[in-house]
Amino acid sequence: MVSPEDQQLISASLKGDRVGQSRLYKKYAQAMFNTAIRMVSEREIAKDLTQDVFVKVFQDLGRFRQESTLGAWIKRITVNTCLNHLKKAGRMQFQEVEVEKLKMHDMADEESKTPDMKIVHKAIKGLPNGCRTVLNLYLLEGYQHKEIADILSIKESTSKTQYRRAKQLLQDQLKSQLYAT
Amino acid sequence: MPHDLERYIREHRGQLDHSESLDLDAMWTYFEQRQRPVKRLNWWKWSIAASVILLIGAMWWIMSDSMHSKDSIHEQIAQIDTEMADHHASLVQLIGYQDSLINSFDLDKSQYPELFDELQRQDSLQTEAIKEMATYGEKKNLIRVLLKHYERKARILELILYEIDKNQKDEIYDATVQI
Repeated sequence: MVSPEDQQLISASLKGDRVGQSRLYKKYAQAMFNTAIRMVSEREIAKDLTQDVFVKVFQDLGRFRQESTLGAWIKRITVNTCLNHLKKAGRMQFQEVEVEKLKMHDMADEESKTPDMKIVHKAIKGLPNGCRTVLNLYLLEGYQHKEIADILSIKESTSKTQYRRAKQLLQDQLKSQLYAT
Repeated sequence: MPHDLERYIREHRGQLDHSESLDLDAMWTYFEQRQRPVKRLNWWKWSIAASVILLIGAMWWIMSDSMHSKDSIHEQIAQIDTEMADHHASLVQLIGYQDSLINSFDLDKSQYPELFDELQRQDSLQTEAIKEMATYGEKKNLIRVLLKHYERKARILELILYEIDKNQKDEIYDATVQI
């Protein structure tokens, strides 16, 4: 599961080798920061959370059982750290959604423009807290609605409607940007 | 707009992790600073370290007893406050011990410029405080300042030992005691 390069970084880091730790940090910090900022939507908080993630990474590296890739393991720590932050900050609120209003646009007739992923990233950051969390977990981090429901202490059906709401808002947002000019 | 937004995002998922850039060098420097711990010793290591220090301190005390009696600063402090004099003596012992440890390494001082600069600064402040002893009115306050300089010096020496330990993987740091 773990690449030889990562294996080397893990060994060096466990020995307290600062160069090895620095290489491991620099290899993954960028991606973890982007994950964090999509989840919390504020740059400075995301930076702090990224630092917290790596404190945990270096503390627990000896317990990493190598059943997944190193990146996936760090990603899970990142997601959990962000979720804890959102919970503590009281930012995990879910707005009521009227299901009948959740009708996706019929895209078939529209010209197929593809949005730049930086615009997608920005649009995700702009979503309301609750549905943004569900979208991040389901669409980007590969969690199932059942798991999301357990993690966020909500019903599975709530996770599904929040996801649909997030997708609709995201689509509206992207559409307005793509067809604005 | 892609017809299947979900699929489009999943297919380009990797790009999302590079959407916002980060100054990784600055982040790492900050991370390292935040991580620089005061190394915690286990209780048994503490007791070994304390015993070693006590033993060395006692030996040093016996050997340098005559020197102590000639130590005018120590005597001056003792005339004003015996507790402060004891504190002064213990700090002088500790600093002497730390100094001897550091000197036992073939150390390139340019590796730790900030620490050695600060050490020099504390030395000169300490010398100034000692010079003022004869004339300064509020002697107790002056002694407190002097002892602070000794304490800072001991901490800097401890940091230097920590750095040596980190670099040379030596166990000697474990035998030092924090003030």
